[in-house]
Amino acid sequence: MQKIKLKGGVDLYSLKSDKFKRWSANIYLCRPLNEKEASYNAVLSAVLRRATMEYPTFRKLQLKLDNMYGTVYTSYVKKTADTHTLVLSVSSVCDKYLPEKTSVQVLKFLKNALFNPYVINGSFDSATVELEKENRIKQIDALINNKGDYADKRLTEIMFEGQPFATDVLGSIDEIRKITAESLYEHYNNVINDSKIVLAVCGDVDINIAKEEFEEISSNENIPKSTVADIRENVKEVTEPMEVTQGKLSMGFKIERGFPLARAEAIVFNAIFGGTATSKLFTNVRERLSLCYYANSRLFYGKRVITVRSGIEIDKYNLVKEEVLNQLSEIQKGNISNEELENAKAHLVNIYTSLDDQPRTKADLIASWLFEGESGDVEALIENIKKVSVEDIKKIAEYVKLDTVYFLTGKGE
Amino acid sequence: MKNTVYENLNESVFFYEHSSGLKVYMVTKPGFKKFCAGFSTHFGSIDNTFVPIGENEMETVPDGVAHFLEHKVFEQENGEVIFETFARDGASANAYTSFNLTNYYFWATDNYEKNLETLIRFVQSPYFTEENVKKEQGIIGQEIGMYDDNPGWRCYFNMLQGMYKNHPVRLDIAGTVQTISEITEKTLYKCYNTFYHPSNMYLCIVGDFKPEKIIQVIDKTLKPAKKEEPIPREYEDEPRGAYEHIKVQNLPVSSPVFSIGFKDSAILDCTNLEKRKAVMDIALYILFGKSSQCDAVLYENKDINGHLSFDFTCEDSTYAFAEICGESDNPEKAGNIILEMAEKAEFSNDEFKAGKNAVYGKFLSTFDDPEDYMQNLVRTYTVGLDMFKLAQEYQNATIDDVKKICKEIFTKDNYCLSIIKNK
Repeated sequence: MQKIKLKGGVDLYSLKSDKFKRWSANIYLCRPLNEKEASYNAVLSAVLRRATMEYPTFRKLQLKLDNMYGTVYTSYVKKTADTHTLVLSVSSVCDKYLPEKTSVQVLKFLKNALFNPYVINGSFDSATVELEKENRIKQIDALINNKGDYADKRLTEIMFEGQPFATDVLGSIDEIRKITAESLYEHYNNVINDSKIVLAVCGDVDINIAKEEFEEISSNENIPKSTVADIRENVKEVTEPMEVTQGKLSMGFKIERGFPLARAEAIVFNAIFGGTATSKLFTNVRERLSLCYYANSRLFYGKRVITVRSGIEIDKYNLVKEEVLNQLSEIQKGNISNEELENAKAHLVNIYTSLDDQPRTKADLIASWLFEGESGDVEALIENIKKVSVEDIKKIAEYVKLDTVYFLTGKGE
Repeated sequence: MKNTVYENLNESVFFYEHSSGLKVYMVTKPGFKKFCAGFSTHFGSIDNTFVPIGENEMETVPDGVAHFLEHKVFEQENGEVIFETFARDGASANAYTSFNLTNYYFWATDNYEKNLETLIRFVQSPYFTEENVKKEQGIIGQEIGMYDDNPGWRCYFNMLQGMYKNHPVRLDIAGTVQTISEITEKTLYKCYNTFYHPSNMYLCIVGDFKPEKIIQVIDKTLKPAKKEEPIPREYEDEPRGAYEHIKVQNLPVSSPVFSIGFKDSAILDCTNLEKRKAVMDIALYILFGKSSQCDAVLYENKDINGHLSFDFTCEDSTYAFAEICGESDNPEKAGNIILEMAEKAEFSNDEFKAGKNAVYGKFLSTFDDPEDYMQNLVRTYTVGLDMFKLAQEYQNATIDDVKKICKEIFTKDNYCLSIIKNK
């Protein structure tokens, strides 16, 4: 991996490799996280996907992509610690496998998609904006279809009430409703003129083309700093009823501020606690005690947060909660077998090593680390994972504290 | 060992047939970190009537037995938990059952010989008892219940039941609570001994490795067996045209979902399945992809939420169908528009060229992901198809081929609309 600072300030990452048939390029625009930003960025990403000045209808744009041998153009938003990122991405067949070279066209296309979108009378097309607002609202409404995701969203909202991290990645229905074609266009101008911009180019493509196209684009160095929240003195427990047959229990833990938390150690801790199929939560809560349909944990490193989600029978609420805490206390006592540690590490090494075959995922990961305020590379992380000891995991566990519990329960009779 | 080179793709496949009849396909991808192996049997949910090994008469087994076997094959007599064995060696393993095959696979970035040994060993050591079959009936019963609540899954199988009157592709892959209760350890051993004979099995491998090493592992691990003749199978006769044209079911959903099926009534006469698949993939892309007239009409009039997905299932000369699905607040209207656009099948030569290039360009991504690549090798070789021939057929397709297939398949007679909506 090579990092180049372009004249205008864009960070260009090159993940060169000639083993693939397709190459890709991703642009990341980093923004502060709050409800309004997230809502605007979510709608903006959909509007930018629809048309450019050169290809003013979706169909024309799409036919252009088809003609560039199935070039894929996607746009989406991501939430990383206290930042919200707008991502535009293209992937295309390498020139050497095509009867005509397309890489220059494809990179120009990507640049135009961001800097030359379809604009009419000094604003975005209002019919398109209204349609994409509606689609985003439907997407937010559809979250209820997946009860596990819904419970996680509620946990985050309660755990971070009044803080940026409470924001959903798609923003909120209320904020989306307020958006107009004009206000979105104004927001768009802020985004392109006042954001930290990162460009990652992966695969077999001439990096000089990307350099040339993006050399003069201006990028600032403003990455919103993430905050680490205080831990509640008394655990907050919220139970909400809904028509469900399976209960969803989500638990939020925070890692105390005073402790210097290394990424590799945090990742291994999470893998042992509930991150894999050989973890304590999976093998004990699910397999040994059959207390739940699933139980796993997730790490939000930049926020020093670990969440546990599980699907359980409704009357098992207290049993599962106690057992999850019991498994944490096992780790705190250092009751981790060598096999548990080695299985977790082998799993993680396997996952991170395989990213070499998925350069876009790797680029996404590197960008998200950057927005968490840390530069790093995957190879160094793998080496650090291999060094983690039972003692390191035990030490982290001592600083892990339960903060919030959310339970989605049935309506009962 | 035979090496076939596909120069324009810069790909090559080593083929090796073991004396037991096992066929091995190996693709070396220098520089790739993932090593992926799939050990598959040509035994899927549709294979319910066949001549068991060593017998002479056709026999019918309960629906869902292939999937049931998939679960039970993981169970080992000594209590070894296979997933943990793989985890210890840094591998992720899984299995699935489809209409035509069952595949056991893993991927890893290290210890590939050891993991491959584990794969071959555990699939070859069945352990079925009255007790463990009973226990599994409960577990699979729950799994069936979970599928019953899944709107997308229900929509898909309702569409198949609408299209097919007799062919077993209409059956749920896992069977029903009733049919799996009829399964005994005897049924399992009969199916296992017939279909898990190496002559009916395939090993597909993708990664950065030496083929000779793989053959050493196979020779060492595979149980000795005598090569067998192909297994005679029987499927009920299926009339032409869709059996029913509409299927509606109520389930809680935020927006209704729909699946449209077009039954390929002429598949029995087809002698080149790769060509049919390639031409139909292009047809579906041109007519229903993001660049289609149909997408523009449906999306801008808000008759669909998001875009359409589509696929042509063509793995076997006994059944084939196209599926187009999406989410819509007015699925009947969306269905009518799609049917009308399909019957007309209007597109220009430029649109054809763009669609053909796009489908081929997207297909190439398969070669960049070792896991996806391995799965594609399994899905094609296990049923006697060839994905490299498919790649060639994408390039050979002409506008006349596409026009002709549209006329054949996209008819009112072959059409079935399946809808899942709130009460």
